[in-house]
Amino acid sequence: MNSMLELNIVPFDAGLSVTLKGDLDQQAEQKIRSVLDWEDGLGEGRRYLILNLHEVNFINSAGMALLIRIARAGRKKGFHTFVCGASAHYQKLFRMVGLTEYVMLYPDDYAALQRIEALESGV
Amino acid sequence: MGKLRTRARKAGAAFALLLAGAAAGWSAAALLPHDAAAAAAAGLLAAAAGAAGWAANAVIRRKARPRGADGLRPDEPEEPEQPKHPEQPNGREHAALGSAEAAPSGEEPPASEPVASGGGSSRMPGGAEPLAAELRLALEVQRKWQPPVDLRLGPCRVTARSRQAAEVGGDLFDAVVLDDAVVAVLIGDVPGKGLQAAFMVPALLLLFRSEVKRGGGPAELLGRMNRVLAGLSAEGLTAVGVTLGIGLLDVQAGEMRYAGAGHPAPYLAMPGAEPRQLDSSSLPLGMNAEENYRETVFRFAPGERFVLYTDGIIEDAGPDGEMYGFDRLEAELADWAADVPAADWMERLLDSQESREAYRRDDRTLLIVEYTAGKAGRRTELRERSWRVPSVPGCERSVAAELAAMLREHWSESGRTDDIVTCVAEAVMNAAEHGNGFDETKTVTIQAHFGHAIMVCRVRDEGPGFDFAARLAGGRAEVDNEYGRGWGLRLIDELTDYWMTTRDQHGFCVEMYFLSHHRQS
Repeated sequence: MNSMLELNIVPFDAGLSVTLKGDLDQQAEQKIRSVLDWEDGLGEGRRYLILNLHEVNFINSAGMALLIRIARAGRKKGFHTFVCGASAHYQKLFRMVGLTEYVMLYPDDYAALQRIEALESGV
Repeated sequence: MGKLRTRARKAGAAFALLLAGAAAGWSAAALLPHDAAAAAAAGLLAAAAGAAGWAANAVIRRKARPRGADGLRPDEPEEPEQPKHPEQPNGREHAALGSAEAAPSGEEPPASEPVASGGGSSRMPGGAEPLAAELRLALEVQRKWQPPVDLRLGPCRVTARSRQAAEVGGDLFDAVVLDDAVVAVLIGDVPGKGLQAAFMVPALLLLFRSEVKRGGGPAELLGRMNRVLAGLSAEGLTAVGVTLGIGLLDVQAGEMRYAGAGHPAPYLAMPGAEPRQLDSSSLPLGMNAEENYRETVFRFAPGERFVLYTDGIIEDAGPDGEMYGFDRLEAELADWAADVPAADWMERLLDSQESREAYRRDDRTLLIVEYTAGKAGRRTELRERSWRVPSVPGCERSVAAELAAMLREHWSESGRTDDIVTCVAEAVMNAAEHGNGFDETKTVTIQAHFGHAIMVCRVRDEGPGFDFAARLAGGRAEVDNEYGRGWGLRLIDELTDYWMTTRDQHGFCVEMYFLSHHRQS
């Protein structure tokens, strides 16, 4: 029943866009950690990370803890984390656990990229 | 004024502390040995009796001051050391809530406003705002202690509705599932309202929940609770006592054992037939430590209803002072059609009483047990499901998926599917990891019961349990590797309408209640 997490990483000028597919729970931790050493930053001077959860059907507290650890690492290493595609329910949960202290929520990739462009142009 | 404010604040603080302690004690009761839980409840009751009297006296002393020509009291500089007026002898007069104004003597407040119990027109005096604020907090606490009852188990359904006359009322009710085969129901009425009720109701519920898990029939339960209350020797209690009715229902056999302590006799009602009243005469709790209580045992006929109520239903007076009375209640019971759910029938009765626009002095509570086995077309309404999964990482996913499908099919209008699935998944994950230590030989049991307006879900493991208050109070771990651990419990606390933990010989159980948003709206 558990749908193992898959990640699709697409670099863009100033950052990385990561699309997650499957379940975001404690079993996903190893997979997420295997694609990048988040504590060392995004590499090549990238300053923005977009996590697209549109194809994530299940997130539990362990999954949320994973997200927040990545976002905290970003704060230390100087990259901003954007989360998009989360359902209204999960957005509510993110606020409850304080994840929104570390990430910015956007409805989709496009909106997140618009915000990044604005940040890059100093708006 | 300064001393009154100080007293009011002290009373409020003591009250809030006691309730906070009571709330903690409730959950702690699940972890404590039964004797210790009962002792804690007894301690709370003793403190309730003492503290309620103390705080109420401060208010009564203030209220007794002379009024000016405009009906308002002069702004006195200091609270006198000694009371100017004799105290109420039976402790039934208490501070009203929510109003800092004084009312002209003898003038009855409108029914929509908070009022005091007893025969007077006591209102919160000026200067007691902190106490009023704490009492409002108490109302919230008391609501948490008395979750709505709309419970289905096998062929039985238990529904309760209560409307308070004062903001913190003296009626209490409860339904507890024991070992999934027995439902214990409780209805009662404590003397007074306001502060005293705010103390007494949670303490009595704690005592009941503690004692009912120790076993024994309803008469024995009443006997044990009576000895605790009688041991307090509180004046307000020995004068009028606490009325209680307790029923233990064997769900599969459809057999009810009932005993009452000074509580109005319940009815058995069948659609299209005259209701019959069960004999249950005895003294209320707390008046005589040696009182023996008697059980009535009966077996439900399919479609039969067991109706418990408080005296506020019967004594509800119309504008002309005429009581609602037993005859009208019996007529309503006789006219109750087979296809009308208990919740609808109760709401209609309570609404009809309120339509008389009379000044309402007492709380009104109804608790009804319906037995539907063998009744064509009704049993299909019952929805329940259980799962048993081994304690392995990810075991919560299959339960979550099946539960989500079931909720979408049967409870979609509730708007709670996502909340419920999240909470159940978190509870199962905690049970497997922390309760059973991911020991595959140990199982996690999940039970879901649906009512029209409420869903109850229990997640049971074989572990020793945990102190959820300490977990919730704990701050975030700042170590990155641990950051975010423990959020499952926080989510459960945020997303459920009510939750509690219990422990019995089979292990530890997290019990979660969800109200349908559809019904609330």
